[in-house]
Amino acid sequence: MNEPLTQQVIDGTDGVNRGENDGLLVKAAKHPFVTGGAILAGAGLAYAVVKTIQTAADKIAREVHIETSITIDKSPEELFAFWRDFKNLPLFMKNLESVVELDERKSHWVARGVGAARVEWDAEVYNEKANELIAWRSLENADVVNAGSVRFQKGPTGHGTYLRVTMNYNPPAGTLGASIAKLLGAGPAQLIKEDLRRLKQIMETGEIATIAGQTSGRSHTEEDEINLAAESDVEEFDQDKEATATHP
Amino acid sequence: MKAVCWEGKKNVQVLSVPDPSIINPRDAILKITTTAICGSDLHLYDGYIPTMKKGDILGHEFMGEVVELGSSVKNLKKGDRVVVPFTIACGNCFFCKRDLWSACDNSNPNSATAETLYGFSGSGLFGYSHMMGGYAGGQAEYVRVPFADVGPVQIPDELSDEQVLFLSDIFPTGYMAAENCNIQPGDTVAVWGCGPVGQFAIKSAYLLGAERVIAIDHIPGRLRMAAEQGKAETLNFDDEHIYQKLSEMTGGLGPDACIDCVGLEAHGTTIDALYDRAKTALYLATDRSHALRQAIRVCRKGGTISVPGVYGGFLDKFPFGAAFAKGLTFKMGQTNVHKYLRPLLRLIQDGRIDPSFVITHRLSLNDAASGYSTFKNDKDDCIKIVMKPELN
Repeated sequence: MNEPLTQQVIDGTDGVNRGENDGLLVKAAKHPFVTGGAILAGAGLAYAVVKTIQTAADKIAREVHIETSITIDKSPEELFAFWRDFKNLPLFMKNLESVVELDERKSHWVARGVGAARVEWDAEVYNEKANELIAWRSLENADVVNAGSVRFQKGPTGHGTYLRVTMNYNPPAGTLGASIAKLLGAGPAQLIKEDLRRLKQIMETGEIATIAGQTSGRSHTEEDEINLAAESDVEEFDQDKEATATHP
Repeated sequence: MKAVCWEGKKNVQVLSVPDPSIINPRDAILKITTTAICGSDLHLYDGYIPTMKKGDILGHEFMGEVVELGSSVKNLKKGDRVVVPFTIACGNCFFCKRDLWSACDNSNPNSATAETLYGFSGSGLFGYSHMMGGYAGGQAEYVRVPFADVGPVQIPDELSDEQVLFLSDIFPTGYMAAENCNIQPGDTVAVWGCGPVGQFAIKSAYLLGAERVIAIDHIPGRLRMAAEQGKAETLNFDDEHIYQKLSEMTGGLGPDACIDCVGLEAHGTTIDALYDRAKTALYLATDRSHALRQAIRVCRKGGTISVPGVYGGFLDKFPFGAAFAKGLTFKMGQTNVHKYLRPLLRLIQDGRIDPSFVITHRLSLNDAASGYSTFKNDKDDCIKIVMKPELN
C-alpha cells in the first residue's frame, strides 16, 4: 500500500523513470535485514528499559532523548513532502509496520514487537511549518509515550538539506518494555541513524543498498548467524555515542 | 555456479554456490568472461583486512556479458559486453556528482562499521570485506552488479577481454596515482612496487608527461617488465641503498613525486622493515609502511607523495616531521574508477596503451587456489593472473 506514494515522490524528484520498480523497491524495503528501523516505536526503548531494569526498585521509567542528523541531496520541499506523508515512514524505519493517517493531524502507528506482538499508539502533529518542521507526539493511552520532530534546513549551495531528528520516549516498565528491549537489541541512536541512512538512499538513489539475499559460499544457517552478528556489531559500535545521545 | 570463496587466512576454494539474482531495480547480472586476481586480493588472502567472513566470494576485477537487468537499468541490454568498476557508486550523491566515486555515500550497506573505524565510510566494493559492503565478488561464473546503470562501461567488439579487463581497477588505479602527482614537464617520478599497479603507474606517468620514471622492487621479473615494457630505470632494493641511489640519480634533489604502489604489506631489509614485521606479528601495529617511509624521506622538498597502495589501519613510526619539514603534498585513496573508464578506454582504442602486457598467467576459474598461492609466493615470475570460467 505504500508503493504508489513512494514512487510518486521518487519519480517526481529524480526524473528517472522507475515505474516498474514498485515490486522490487518494496521487496527490498520489507526485507528484515534492510528494512528501515523502528525509529519512533522502539528505537529509544532498548536503552530506556535497560535503565528501568537497573532501577528495578522504584520501577520508574526514564525518559530517553536522542538527536541525530544527516545530509540528503534533495530540497527541503521534497524531503518534507516525503516525510509528512506518514505512510512512507515504514519504508525506511526498521521496526515500524504501518502508519495510517486518521485525519490531517492524527495518525495511528503500529510497530513490530516480539513474535506476533504489536506496539500501537495514536499520535498527533502538534507543530508543523511547511518545508521546515514536523513535530508529533503520542496521544493518551499509548503503549509507548513518545514525541519526535524533524527539521529540514537547506544546506550551503550544492550541499542538499540537513535533516535534524529528535526523539523522546517515556516507555513503560515491566514485561512490555522488556519485550521491546529484546526486540530492538541495538542502541537507539544507531538505529535511528541507520533509518536515516535508508531514507537518504531512497531519496537519492530510489533504492536501499543491500546484500541481503545475495549468493555466497555459506549455508542459510551461516548466513543468518552473520546477519545477527552484524546487528550486534552495531550495538557495540554505538556504546560511546549512546552515552552522549541519552541523558535520562 | 562456481565461485572463488574466502575460507580463511591463506585458504581460498572454488565452491558451488547458488547463482546470483536481481535484488534491487538498478542491479544487473553478468556472466563473467574474464576475471583477475588483484594484488589487493592478497591482503585478504593474508588476513590483513578485517571483517572478511568464511564463504565470501572474492574478486573485484571482472568483465562479462549482461544476462539479466533490473527494471531501472535502461542504458544496457542483454548481451552487452561490459567492464565493471571495482568501486560501487550510486551516481546520485554529493560525492558521485563531484567525481569522487570511491567515496559514494549510498553504496555501502555496512557504512556503520567503516564509520566506526574511519569516521566516514567509503563506497561499497566488490569482494572486499563486510566493512566495505560485503558484496559478492566476480571471481565466479556470474555476478550481481548494483547500480548497473552507472558503473559498467560497454566495450566495442574489436577490443579483446584482455585489453580492457584492467579498466576495472589496476589501470585507472595506476593512472590516478600518476595524475595525483601533478606531473610537470621535466619531472622525475619514482615508483615503489612493480606489481601490476606499479606497471600502470609507470606507463601513466610517461603518458602524463614525466621525463624520467624510476621503478623500485626486488623481484627480478617485475623489474624486467618495468624496464622493458615501462621504459623505467630500475632499482633493486636488495642491492641498492634507495635513498642514496635516488638522491644520486636526481643530482641530490630527490624525485619530484613518489608513488607507493606497495601498501600495507611492504617488504624490506632495513631496520624499520624488520621492526614493522615484528610489530604486526604481535598485533602492535596493523600496517607495514616501509615503502612509504622511504618515499617520504627521499622525495624532494615540495614534492608529492601519491599512495594507490592499500592501507587498512594504523602506521607506526610514520615520519610526519620529515613530511612537514619538506612541505610534501599527499594524495591517496581508493580509485575513482568511474571517472577514468571512458578516457582510458579511448587510450586503448587509440592504441596508445595495451594493458594486456601485464598478464603472465592464464588459468581456469577452477585453478584459483593455486593461482593465489603462485601470486602470493611470486612463483614463476607471476605478475598478473587472469582467469576464465570458460576454461573450466
